[in-house]
Amino acid sequence: MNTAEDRLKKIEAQEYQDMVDQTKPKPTVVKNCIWAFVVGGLICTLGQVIMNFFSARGLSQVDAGSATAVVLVFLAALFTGLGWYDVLGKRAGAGSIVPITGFANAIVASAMEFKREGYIFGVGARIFSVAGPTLVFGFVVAVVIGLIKVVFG
Amino acid sequence: MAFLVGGIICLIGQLVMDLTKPAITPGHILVGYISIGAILSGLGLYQPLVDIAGAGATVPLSGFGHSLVQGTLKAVETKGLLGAISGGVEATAAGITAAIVFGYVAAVLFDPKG
Repeated sequence: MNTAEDRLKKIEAQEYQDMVDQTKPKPTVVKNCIWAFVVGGLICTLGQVIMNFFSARGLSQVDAGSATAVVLVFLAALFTGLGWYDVLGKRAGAGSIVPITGFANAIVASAMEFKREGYIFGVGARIFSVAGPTLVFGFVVAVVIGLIKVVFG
Repeated sequence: MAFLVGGIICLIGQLVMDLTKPAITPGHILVGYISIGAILSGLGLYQPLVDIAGAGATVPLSGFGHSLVQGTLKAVETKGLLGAISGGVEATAAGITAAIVFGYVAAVLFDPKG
């Protein structure tokens, strides 16, 4: 009795799942990719404009790149705080994640959520919930490559 | 060129997110991009992209990995082993510090929406 009921429930659940799969919109990969391409491209273009500005003021290519990163991080932190970056992120997906603005967005968004745990071990710690792993892997790869150069010249 | 190359780099990230099951989060994308950018930079394959695309290659997080590695390699030339440890952070200090300080200030000043 019990097992028959269970089986019936399972079948119903399966049928329901099939219905859900049929009616829910197919993932719009192409549309997502166009959004990611356009928004990512525009953020990089903005970066290029800022970089040209700093280059014109006599900064080297490397320094101009650093200054550009600082400006973009500032803008992304501000827009995330205002709630604008997440509106963009809903449409742009990777277009708003992959640029360095996405890194800043991840830092602010995760830190903001943990204000109730305090400004030191809430905000101060959660800043690194996404930034931490990113920096760890960046540093590890860079040091390994540096060591390879030290050893093999 | 910044638009085209930057757009394509982001598009690849979108494809990875859409064509793999939910396992890939934005966090994974960031970690993956910085690591792949660093490795490509170490192999000498990223600088040509920067030469062609400028900010289109430096603004994506893979460009951050590239800066880390180029800073490390440069420091190794002058400081040897010590440079291997210190060079990466020295080259990216501005971006990292900006992210932490601006990130902290923004998180303190603003409250999450919705």
